[in-house]
Amino acid sequence: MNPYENLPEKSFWKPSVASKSLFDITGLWDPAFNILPNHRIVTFGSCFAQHIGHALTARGFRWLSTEKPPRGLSAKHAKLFNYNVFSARTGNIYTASLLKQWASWALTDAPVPDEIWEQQGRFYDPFRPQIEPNGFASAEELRLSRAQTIAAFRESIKQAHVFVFTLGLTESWVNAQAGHEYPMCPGTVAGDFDAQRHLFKKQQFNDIFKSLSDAIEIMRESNKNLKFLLTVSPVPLTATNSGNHVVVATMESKSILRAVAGQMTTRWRHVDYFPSYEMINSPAFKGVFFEPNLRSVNPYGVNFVMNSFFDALTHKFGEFKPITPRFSRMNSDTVCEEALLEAFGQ
Amino acid sequence: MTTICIIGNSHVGSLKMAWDNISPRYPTMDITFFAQRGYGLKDLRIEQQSLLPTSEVLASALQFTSGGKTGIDTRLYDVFLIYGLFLTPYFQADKPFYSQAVLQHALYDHVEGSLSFKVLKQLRSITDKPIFAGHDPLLIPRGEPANDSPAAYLEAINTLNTLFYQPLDAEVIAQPLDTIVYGRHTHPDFSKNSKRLAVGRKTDLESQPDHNKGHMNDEFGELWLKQFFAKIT
Repeated sequence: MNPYENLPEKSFWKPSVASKSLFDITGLWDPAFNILPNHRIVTFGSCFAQHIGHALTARGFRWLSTEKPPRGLSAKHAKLFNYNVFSARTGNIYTASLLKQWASWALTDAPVPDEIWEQQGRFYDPFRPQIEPNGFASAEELRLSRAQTIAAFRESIKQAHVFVFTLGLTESWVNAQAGHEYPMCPGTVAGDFDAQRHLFKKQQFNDIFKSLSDAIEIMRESNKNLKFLLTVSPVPLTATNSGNHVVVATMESKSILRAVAGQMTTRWRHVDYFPSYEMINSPAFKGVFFEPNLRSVNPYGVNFVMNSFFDALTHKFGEFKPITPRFSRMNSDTVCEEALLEAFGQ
Repeated sequence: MTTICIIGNSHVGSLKMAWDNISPRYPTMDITFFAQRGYGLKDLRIEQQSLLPTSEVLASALQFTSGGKTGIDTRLYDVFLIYGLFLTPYFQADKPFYSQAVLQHALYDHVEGSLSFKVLKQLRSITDKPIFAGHDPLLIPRGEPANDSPAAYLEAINTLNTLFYQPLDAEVIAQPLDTIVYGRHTHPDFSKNSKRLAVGRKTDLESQPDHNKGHMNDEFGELWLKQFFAKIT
């Protein structure tokens, strides 16, 4: 008799992986709490988090956007201006420390830095450098837009039942004097790089664990019932400044993030981890969910991950009834016709 | 005599009913209507200085509403009004905040997708005479909305004109301010007492249904035309 003798099939590689088609590998996630379609769910983080928001909406879950595009803006232009990408227009929040920074600006007295980058008469937000494709018309417009996003981020936390956050990077760039962090290295997308002012920081497990813990605590102070679902982006690094080969840097970075996410679930019952990273990156899936560049996740991978997400919830908590739109606009054409004929038919 | 050509869809109905009532008071105005329901006017094509129907259905509607004309010959009119045709009102409020670029793209999408703007571009390509546009009326309110001023509505009219209509030497006209309540709705009285067309159905001559919050009556049309006449004279 030994502890392994009575373990379920999923505990063993051969029956749960080696003997199965990769598409039949199931049960990777055992949800810690239920997520219902009427729960307000917000999504932030690295690029991969976008897919979660879209999939939630498509499945009839209540993905919450607190910074909506103006009426009339087409889906194409909404995407161009980064509306409905995340629940507020924060752009990518790649690191746990950036999440803490946004949470502090939105929910504490922490001052928002007034740093603005000007380039050829346009103004770029160092904390959302790609949020407007051609920057802002003025510094004042940028400040108002940033304030709007901070307010929307605050509102998203206050209203949400579930906060989904995708951890993306461990490498970061910070302002040497003020200490604030940039999502992108200055000078890459916008701004000018200054080696004296812009410092590279390779965050380690303890840094990330503390930042994420602080961020969660700040958010829970405003919404004591808020639950967190962490994921780790399966997308490899585009580039590394660590000095290591990008493959090695990617593996190190993802391993740290994965370990932090696991540790968080051990620490708090209101934090769960969804293994989208494993579903894309594990050798069990043979890399089939990557595009030919071996970096971007293809639509099959996204579908597989999201199907697994909903299947796991259903398996544990039962079928759910998707929410339906509260109302649909009536087609007024039938009335139109009568109105017209009335006028001319007398 | 000022000859006016009004082109539009079902919303033209309120102007036509008003014109039937008030035309004796405006002997120097002559109006010809060209209307077809819904998106029917998408089937107009340009031929020399005219807009002509490309479908039998539209040809029939134009003939019916204009009193016998088979197409819109721009040489016959002094002023054009494009009315309704899914140019819906827009509101440009201070909050939530949007950048200029975002608002401009939203207004572009809003206008460019409308049949009204398509007809405007067609018209402008064949005539340099004055062209005006009237949007679909503001909806009547549901319940008791907040009592806003019409500033956001008027601001959007200004921006539409600056960005999209002035470059085409055209102008969007706001609906009369005395028809507006709560800053962004038409007073409910202006949608009352319009009757369904007598077409041999049980519903003939009944009032329009309550859910019709977008179509206005002849009183509304009269106020609209009075304002329009004042503008063009």
